[in-house]
Amino acid sequence: MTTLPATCDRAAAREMHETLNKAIGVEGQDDPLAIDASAVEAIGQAMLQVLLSAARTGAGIIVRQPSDAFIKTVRLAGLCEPLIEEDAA
Amino acid sequence: MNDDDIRKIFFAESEEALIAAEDGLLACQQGTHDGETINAIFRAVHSVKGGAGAFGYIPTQGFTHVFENLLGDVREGKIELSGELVELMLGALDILRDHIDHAQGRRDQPDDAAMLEQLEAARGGGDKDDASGDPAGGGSNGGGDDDLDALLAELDGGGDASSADQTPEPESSDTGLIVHIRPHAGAMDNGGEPLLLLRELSLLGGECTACHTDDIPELGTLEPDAGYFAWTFRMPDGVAEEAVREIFEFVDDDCDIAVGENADIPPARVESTPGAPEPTPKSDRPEEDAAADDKAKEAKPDGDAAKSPAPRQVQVSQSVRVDLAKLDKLINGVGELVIAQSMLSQRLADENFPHVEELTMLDTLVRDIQERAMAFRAQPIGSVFGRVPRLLRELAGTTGKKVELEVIGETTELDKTVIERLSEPLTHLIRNAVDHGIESPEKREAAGKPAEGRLVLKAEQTAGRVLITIRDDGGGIDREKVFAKAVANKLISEDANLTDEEIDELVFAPGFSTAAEVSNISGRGVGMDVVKQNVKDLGGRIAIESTPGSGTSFILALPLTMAIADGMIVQVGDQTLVIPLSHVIESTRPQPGELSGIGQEGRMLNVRGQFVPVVSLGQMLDAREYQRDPCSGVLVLVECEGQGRAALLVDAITDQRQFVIKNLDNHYRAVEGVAGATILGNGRVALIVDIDHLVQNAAQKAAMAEAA
Repeated sequence: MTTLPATCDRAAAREMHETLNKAIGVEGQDDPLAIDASAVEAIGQAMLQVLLSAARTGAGIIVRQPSDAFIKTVRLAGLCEPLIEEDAA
Repeated sequence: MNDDDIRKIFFAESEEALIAAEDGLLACQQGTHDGETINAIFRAVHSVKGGAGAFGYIPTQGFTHVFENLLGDVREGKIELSGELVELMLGALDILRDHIDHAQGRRDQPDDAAMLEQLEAARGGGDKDDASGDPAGGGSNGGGDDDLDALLAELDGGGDASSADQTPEPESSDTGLIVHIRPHAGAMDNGGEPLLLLRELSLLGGECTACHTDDIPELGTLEPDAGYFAWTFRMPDGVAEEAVREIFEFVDDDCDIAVGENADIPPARVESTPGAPEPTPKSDRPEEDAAADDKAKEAKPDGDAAKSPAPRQVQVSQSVRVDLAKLDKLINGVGELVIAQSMLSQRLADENFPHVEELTMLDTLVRDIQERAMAFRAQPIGSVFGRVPRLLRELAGTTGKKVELEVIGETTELDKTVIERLSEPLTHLIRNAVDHGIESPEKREAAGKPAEGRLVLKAEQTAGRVLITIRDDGGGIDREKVFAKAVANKLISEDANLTDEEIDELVFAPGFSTAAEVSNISGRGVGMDVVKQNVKDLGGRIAIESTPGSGTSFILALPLTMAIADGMIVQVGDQTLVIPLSHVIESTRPQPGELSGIGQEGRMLNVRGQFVPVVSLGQMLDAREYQRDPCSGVLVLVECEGQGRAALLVDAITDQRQFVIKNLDNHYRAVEGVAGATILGNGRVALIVDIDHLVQNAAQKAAMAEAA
C-alpha cells in the first residue's frame, strides 16, 4: 500500500513518480497497486498525471479510501472514471 | 544577476506598469472602460504588488493590495466604474508612484492612510472574502507569487462551490460555449496550478465534458513536470467568450485555449511520442474518451461555431535589456567608424581615386549601421508625455484650473539622453501654460470658451529633427504687460520699437517673470531663460507663437541624437570650422550692390529685401589671413536664437557631411563660441562653431562700437 501525502503538489508528484516507477510495470506485479488517498487535502495536476500514468502502466493502480478533497478535485478535472469509480468502487 | 539588478528591473517594470495603468485609467475616463482595459489596469497593479512583495516593500504591497481589491471588484462588475471612481484611482496611482519613488529613495514615505480609506470606502459593500487577509493572493487568479499550499487549500475550499455548481443542468447542456484548455508545463511553474483555472471555469457554471488524457505516457517515460492533460468544458448559456478568456489572461503563454465546438484541442507542447493521440494499448477505455469527444462535437453545431479563433500563438518576449554603458560604447565605436570611413575616403581622393565603387558601398553601410545604432538609444517620447496627466491633476488641485490634455505623436522616438533631459523644460513649460496661459474658469466662460482648459502636446519628426509643440488655448501673451515688465526690469529701453514676435521672445530673457507674484507653481526660481538654455544644451531650439485671446504655442525643435550631426565644413583663413547644418538657411556669394555699410565697420546683406548683418567669422575668431571682402568670400546665412538671422562671412565652403560631435568639456574645457569639436577625414581636429553665441557676441561688439 502506497499512501498519498496531504499536499500533493509538484514536489510530491516527483517523489510519487519515482516510488511508483519502481513498483509498477515491473516483473512480478500482477495485481493493481493499492494507493491510499485518505489523507489527501489538496492535489494538483502534476500528481493526477502521475496517478493516471501509473494506472496505464503494468497492472495499474487502485485508489483506496479517497478523501473528500481528492474526489472533489478528480471530479472537477473530469477524471472520476479512470481514477475513482472504475477502480475504487 | 544579483539582487540589485533584479531590483532595478523591478523598478523599470513598475514604471512601465504604472504608465500602462495610467493609460488604461485615462482611456476609462474617455469612456472606453471595456473588460480588456480594466484587465490591463488590474494586471499592472497586480504585477507591482507581486514585485513589491518579493522585495519586501511592505507598505507598497499593502497599498497595492487594497487598490487591487477595488480593481478586482470593478473587473468582476461588482462596482460600477464611475467618473469619480476613475479620478480616485488616478489619485491612488499617483500615491502608488510615490511608493515606488520612496522605495528607490527618491522621496519620503507617502502618507497613504487617507487614500486607503477612500479606496476601502469605494469598495463599500463589495465582497471581500476572497481577498482580505491574504495580501499575497489578491484576485482569484492565482498569481506566480502565491504559495502553493495556499493555492491548493483554496482549490480545496472552492471545491464545494464547484461541485455544487457542477450539478448537471440538462436544459443548457446543448448550448453555450465549448472551451478546450491545454495547460503547458509553464502553467505549473512558480506555484501555478491549472486546476485552479478549471475551478474558475466551474464557478462560471462550466462543466467538464472531457479530460483528454491520451498524451499521458507510461510511468517510465512520464515527465512529472510536464503538462499532459487537456480539458473540454462546456459553459452555460450567457457566458461570454471574453469572460472565459479573462480567466486565462495570466497564463497566456503557458496555457492554450480554443473556443468553439469545432475548434481543435490545442496540441501538447511536450515532446510526446508521435503515436500519442492514438489510444495507447494501456488506455483504460479509449471508447470513453472518444464518446466524450463525440458528445462535445455533437453539441449544437449551429450558432457561432465558425468564429472559433485558433489558440493564441505563444509569444516569446523579443526584447533584451542591455546596460546603457555598453550601448554607449557601441555608439562611440560607430562614431569612430564614421570618422575612419571619412578618413579613408579622403585618403583615396588624395591618391587620385575619387570614385571608388566599394567606397560608396562602405559609405552606405556605415550610415546604415550608424542609424541602427542610434535607434537603439531611441525611445518613444511617450515616456515623458506619460508624466503630464499627473502634473495636470496636481496643477488642477493648486490652481483650480481643469485642463484637458490631448497628446499627439507619443510614439515619436528621440535619443534617450534627449528624452531624459527634456522632462525638466517640458514640465516647466506645462506649468507655465497652466499657470499663466490658461485663464481661470470664470474668465474663460466670460470669453465664451469652455471652462475646462485645453493643452495639446504634439511630437512629430521632420527632416532630421523632432518638433515638440506645447499649445494651450489660454489668453495668449499679454504683450503690453510683457513690454512694461521688460522695461521695468531694464531689459529694453522704454522707447524700443519691437515687433510682436520680438516682444514674445522677451519672456526668454534672463530675469523675466510676468506673474505679479511668484507662485509656487512656475515661479520656482527657474525662469523661461533656463528652459531655453536647457533646450539649447540639447542642441535644440525653442520658438514661441502666440495669438491674443486664443492661446500660445511653444515649439521645441530637437535633434534626433546628440552624437552625430550634419555640418558644413568651411575654411576661414588657416582654420577649418564646422557650422551645424541645422542653423544654415542658404549660402551666397553677394554682388557688391547687395551689400550696404552701416556704422564704421558694419555691413548688411540685402536678402530679398531683408537686411541681415554680416558677421566675419575670421574676425570673430582672430584667424590669420582670412577673406575680408564678402564679394570674394562666401556668405552663409544662418538662423540663430534670439538674434534672428545673420550672414557669416567665410573664405570658402569645402564640404558638407556628417560629423561626430566630440564634447570639448570632456577632453579639454568649455570654450566660448565653440560648441564642440570633430575629427575630419584628414585626421585633423575641427571646431564646431556655436553660432548663437558668436552672432550674439558680434551684435554686442557692434553695439559697443556704435556707442564709442
